[in-house]
Amino acid sequence: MARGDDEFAEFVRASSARLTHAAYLLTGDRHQAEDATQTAFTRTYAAWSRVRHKDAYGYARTVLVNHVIDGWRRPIREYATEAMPERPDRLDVDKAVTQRAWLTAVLKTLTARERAVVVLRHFFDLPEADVARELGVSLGTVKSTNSRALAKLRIEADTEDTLIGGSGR
Amino acid sequence: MNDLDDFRAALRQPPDQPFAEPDLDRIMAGGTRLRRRRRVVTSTAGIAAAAVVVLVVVFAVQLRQPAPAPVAQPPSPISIAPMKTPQTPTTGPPKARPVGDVVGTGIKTRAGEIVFFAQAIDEPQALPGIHFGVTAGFRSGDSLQAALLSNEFRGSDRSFGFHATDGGEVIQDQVIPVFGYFAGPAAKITTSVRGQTVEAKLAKWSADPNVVIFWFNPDSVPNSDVLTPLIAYDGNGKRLTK
Repeated sequence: MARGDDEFAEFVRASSARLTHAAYLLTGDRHQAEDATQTAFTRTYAAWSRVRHKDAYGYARTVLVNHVIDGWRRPIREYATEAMPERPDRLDVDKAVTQRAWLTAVLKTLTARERAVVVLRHFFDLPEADVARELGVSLGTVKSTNSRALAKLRIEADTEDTLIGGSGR
Repeated sequence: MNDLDDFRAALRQPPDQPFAEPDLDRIMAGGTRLRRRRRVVTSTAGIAAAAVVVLVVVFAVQLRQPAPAPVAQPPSPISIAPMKTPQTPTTGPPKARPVGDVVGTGIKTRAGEIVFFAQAIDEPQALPGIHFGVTAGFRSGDSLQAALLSNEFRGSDRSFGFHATDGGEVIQDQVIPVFGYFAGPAAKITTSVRGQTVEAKLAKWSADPNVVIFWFNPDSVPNSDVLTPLIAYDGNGKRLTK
């Protein structure tokens, strides 16, 4: 195996768990998540000579998120619902399984863009400006989308995560 | 701790069962296929330029030696057969050799207008069913410079469907649009980028009107990683591809 291939194999080993986890949050389906991650790594390998000394992880993350988003079709993926799933007691650590089920259910109430913003902002912990760049939307759109998503989830946001100025569209 | 912290913690909570490990062999095989279907022409040009240098050296050596007898010419010690370009000039840069008309895009760069044209491929051993590829290049006045040749690498170059989609990157300091060709009666080609439908520009290849060269405006489609599968429609709006 060439040196670049060794580096790539190590990159996959180091990053696959986190990227697949993100893909799962985006898709809500284990198999889709694993397939999406496989695709993202394949495209990253094709571009490895260009990205290996830059931000390979960021490249793979961008490919993954855009791949998942573009695979979505809004009429199928929007789950309009009046009733939000009951939230588990956050102090009850034994309810981890219930919490996972709750998380999966509430994420499904979000639109594709809302879900992508939530995952990039709160799972990857990217600044809003970086989220905007990765998704190719304005900063205002990220702010408003994030604010709307958190409101749907009935989550009390930090000041920095609320819409300021109403510049979002 | 507030609600948002709880939510972030829930997002990062490991899954109850670990995910399957990615299949590294399949990733590398797929990635290699993606790489193989394209050739940056600058490297080809480099090879051609090197061959020109070899030719010049051969001629120089011949000039220094007595003229050979007019009969019984020995075979040349240096073979240039792999170039497959018997008309290679001995001076100047290698020239692009379009097959059919050159298609202008109207996209101006410092290197000239971005254009597309077909070039012949003659690799019967490696690519027996492939006889042409589509090249992205620059046209400035009478000068035509190739930048990126993309060709099919499996089966036939004119089997029905999309072929050789490539581009969407910076080559020779210029952004080359995502481009390729469709074999069939395509009148409209679309993709979607971040949920938005984007339509390609089309031009029929003058050497075979059943081949349609397409490209996307780089402002709408910055690279091929953001594409969804391409869709072709005929003149009646009927979908040609799944």
